[in-house]
Amino acid sequence: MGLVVAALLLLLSGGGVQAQPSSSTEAATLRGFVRAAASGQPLRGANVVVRRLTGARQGAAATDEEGFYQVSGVPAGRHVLRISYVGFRPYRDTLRLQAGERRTLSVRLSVAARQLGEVTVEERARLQGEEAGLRRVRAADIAAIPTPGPGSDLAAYLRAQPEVTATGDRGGRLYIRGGTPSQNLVLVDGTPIYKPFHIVGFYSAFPGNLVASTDFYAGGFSAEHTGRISSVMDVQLRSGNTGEVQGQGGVGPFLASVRVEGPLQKGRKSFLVNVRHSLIEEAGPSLLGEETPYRFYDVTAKLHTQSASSQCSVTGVRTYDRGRIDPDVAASFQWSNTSVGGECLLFGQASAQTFHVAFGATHFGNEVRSTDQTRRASDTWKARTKFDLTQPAPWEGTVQWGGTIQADQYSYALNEPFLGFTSEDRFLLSASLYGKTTWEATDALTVTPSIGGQSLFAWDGASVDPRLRLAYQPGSENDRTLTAAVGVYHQIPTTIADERDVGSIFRAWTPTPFLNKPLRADHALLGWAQPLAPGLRASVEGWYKRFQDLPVPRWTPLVRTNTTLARADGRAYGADVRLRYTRDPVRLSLSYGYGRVAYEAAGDALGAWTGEDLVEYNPPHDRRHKLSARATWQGDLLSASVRWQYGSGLPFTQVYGYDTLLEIRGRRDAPTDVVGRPRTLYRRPYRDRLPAYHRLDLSAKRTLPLGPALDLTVEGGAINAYNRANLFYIDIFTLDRVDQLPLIPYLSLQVDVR
Amino acid sequence: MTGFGTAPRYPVGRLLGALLAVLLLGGCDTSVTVLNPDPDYQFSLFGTLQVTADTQVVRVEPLGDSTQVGAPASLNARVVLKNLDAGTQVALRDSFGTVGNVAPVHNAWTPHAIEPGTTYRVEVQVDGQAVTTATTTTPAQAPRLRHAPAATRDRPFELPCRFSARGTPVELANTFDLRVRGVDAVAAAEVRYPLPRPSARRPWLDHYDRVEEEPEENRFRVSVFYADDLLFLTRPNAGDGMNQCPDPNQFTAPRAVVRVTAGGPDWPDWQGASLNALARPDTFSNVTGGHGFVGGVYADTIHIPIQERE
Repeated sequence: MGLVVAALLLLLSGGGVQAQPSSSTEAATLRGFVRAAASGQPLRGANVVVRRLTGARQGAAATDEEGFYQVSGVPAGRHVLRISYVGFRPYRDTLRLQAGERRTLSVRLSVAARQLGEVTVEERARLQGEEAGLRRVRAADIAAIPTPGPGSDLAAYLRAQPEVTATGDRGGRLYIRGGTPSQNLVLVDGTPIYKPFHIVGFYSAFPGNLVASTDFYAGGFSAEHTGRISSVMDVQLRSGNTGEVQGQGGVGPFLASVRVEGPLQKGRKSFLVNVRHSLIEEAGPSLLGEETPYRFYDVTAKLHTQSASSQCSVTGVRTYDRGRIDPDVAASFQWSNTSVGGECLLFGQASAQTFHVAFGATHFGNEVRSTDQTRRASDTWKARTKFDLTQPAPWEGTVQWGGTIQADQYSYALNEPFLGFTSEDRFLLSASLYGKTTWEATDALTVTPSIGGQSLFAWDGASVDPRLRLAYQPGSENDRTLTAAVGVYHQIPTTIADERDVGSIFRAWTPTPFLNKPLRADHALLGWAQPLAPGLRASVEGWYKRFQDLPVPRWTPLVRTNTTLARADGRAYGADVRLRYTRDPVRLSLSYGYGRVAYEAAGDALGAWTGEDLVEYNPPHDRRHKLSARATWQGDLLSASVRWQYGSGLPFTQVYGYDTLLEIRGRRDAPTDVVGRPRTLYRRPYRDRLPAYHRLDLSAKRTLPLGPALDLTVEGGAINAYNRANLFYIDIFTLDRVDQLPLIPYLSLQVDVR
Repeated sequence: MTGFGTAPRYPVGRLLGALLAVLLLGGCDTSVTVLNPDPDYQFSLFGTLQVTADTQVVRVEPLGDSTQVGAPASLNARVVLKNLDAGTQVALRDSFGTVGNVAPVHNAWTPHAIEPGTTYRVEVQVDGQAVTTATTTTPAQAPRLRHAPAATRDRPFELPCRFSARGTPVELANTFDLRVRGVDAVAAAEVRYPLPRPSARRPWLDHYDRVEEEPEENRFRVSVFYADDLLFLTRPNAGDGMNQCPDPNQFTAPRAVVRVTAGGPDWPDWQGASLNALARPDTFSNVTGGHGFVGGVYADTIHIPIQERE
């Protein structure tokens, strides 16, 4: 432990950097931003290569999600710089760099007309290639998923991934490789947001046309992300156009959207505002022939400013959802997110460091009102400041370190029919530090160790999270890649759930009830990717997560929001296999995911009446098999997409009866005076399986130019094309069966104004 | 030349085909059975058999039907009360009606007298066969209650109440005690104050959690924090009004009544158990073929004089 802390302190002190050999300090550094010339958008993944005039490579980098690159250790002298990005004309320049010089060179690339074939990937793609557990999501990936428009959405994309288990098409809960929704960290432009997924599962606070990129870690992430034990979704929204004002409006049966963006100061500052509002509540009865009591909206606004050596933005997101998961039951759910934050990336001539700072506040509230007017409500506030410093390492690579301070307020008030009122209000202050280095050990091997620590000021001690990531590309081309990651993860907050039924989406956030024992997970991932034929690429990744000190709802036959939590350990493992075929104009994708999740808890603590000292069970998100096939055809006039997905049945609990409990103790409940407390008498929990699920979605889209600055996009399609009655859930307390959405034909129109 | 029907079959292809077939065939059925009644658990029974009471009432609820709160109109069963010592039995009558304006339930009742120190069995019969039973023994005698502040360490019921500087009632100074002897277990301890009460409020306040066993004395002690009760009765909303107990002239009689109920020898030791523990179907139950608890009890009362504090 002491060794780990000492190593962390050494890393944080930057001592290693001070010890650079003099030859390194005399080397030059080249850095800057790569942006699109017309819109000013940062270009992520652009290749930056510095060569000698003889052609020998002196340094290379790929731009990050903010379009930033840094090439360190370039010897003094004359060099050729080449910056390339798919679909853009490459930038070339000849530079004379002085010893020790730190030069800022930000460039803007212009769109190239049909030059895809000319682009060559010059930098070793491991910088932006396969990484363990990581899926880099681009806007084009999101657009390829059939979604009732207008436009696409990140939520629809995520649900199609083998790493993700969704319990249904409503409710907005995603389970990532054995983890639960409360164990996912979702960041929007660096600010956490608790539940950005809408009540109708195709939608989230992240419309496809706003997402610049998303780093989706299904596990194995480095220590710059602390505080969650399952996954990270780091969403970067794109900034507004710095060149010209643009607008977009669209309408479909599910929602209407409006977007306006443009420069505040041409070439430097921009704004972007996007508003979406659901229409399904109004359109559903005539379109689907059934009530669709779902209403939601989201508002996103972003201000952005950029210069040659800095980039800052302020982002605000507001979401609201309201509805009834079971249209036949009057219990009404509602939740909202309000998130405001800013982030800056800065660097100067005097230092080789880059400084990134993010700050923000976020609020999540949710409540459910029952038919008997009882109300359960929960509110969570978070204020957070995070900074990161990155600098060249004495070895081939970089050193990054930073910290976070955050304040959290958790409160809930639960008014239970038959059981009364429970409430809690907690304020917590916590801090975390991390250090990370990327070491390019050889041309083929990149090693990324990191270590983080977090401390809740109200607790004794701190948790320490050592982690390691590896990427190995044995070939000279970007073909075969071996990736691996291991790590320790800790989390302080958890949620208490309404176990009334699987469709209930009420969650109250609270610190873990086990003092000085945060939730813990250990991750291990091992993956392999390689091309099989021209255009055909296969990848497979095995994963394992071990969970400790998970607060799980104590089993009780009482119909209530269960605030009594028991300690459980768990393990989850599986493998995901992907086949991708890309050859214009066709893209095919086939993925299969196998997973298994099991929890284990002491029978007494769990309140189990199975007679076992140690009870093992599969939680309700233990979906074993997931299969997804997708085909996209991108023609000159028309694009079309087909997706079929399959999921094996989820665990559920069979019931053998119902009664009402009378408290004979103290003669408190007399049969003549009270009905009693409803009990659901179930067999061994989660032993049975719901039916499997499968669905076919289709879409076709065509864009028609209406004028020099006006386009009309028409999109039609169908969700659940063969109208399968996919079970969403059975309410074990009322025996109501709720199916997922039926066949939904849709036609949406979208107008783009430039 | 390879004919169409003789094309080589690769194991991978066959495996994929088999996998797809399993997935698709397994995916055709969308039906699901949630309620699956268990013949080993058919009814729940809750109630007490009370010596000296003029009516015995036991809640009888069928388990395997889909009514979650309440019960279907027809019980489709006969409920009998058997005196196992005497070998006699009576049929209980079924009262089906709404209780507490919530839901209709079946209460099986009888005016049959219950004897002390006797073993009884409540039996639910379906088609003449006993499917659910609860067997219990009533206490042999009524509880012997004593409150003697002058002669013992019992604390008296004194007014006015005493409050701390922070305005909260002092428990030590505002608690009276009584002692219970001659019982196997205390099933309930309740207090009724001579105060006018809203009709919606139950007349008896529960003090079961304040019962302590004193095994070396072979007795139980009941401590009643009466200032807390009086504040609850007179200003049920916290922060409402002055921090003082009712004026003596507000009482309709100069004494409170404490009712202590003895439980039989099979009375469970469930004091302090959580509601979750109580709700488990496998705990605190003397029912076979179902769930619940039916216990034999015997109650008596004692008057506690209200004194003026010196």
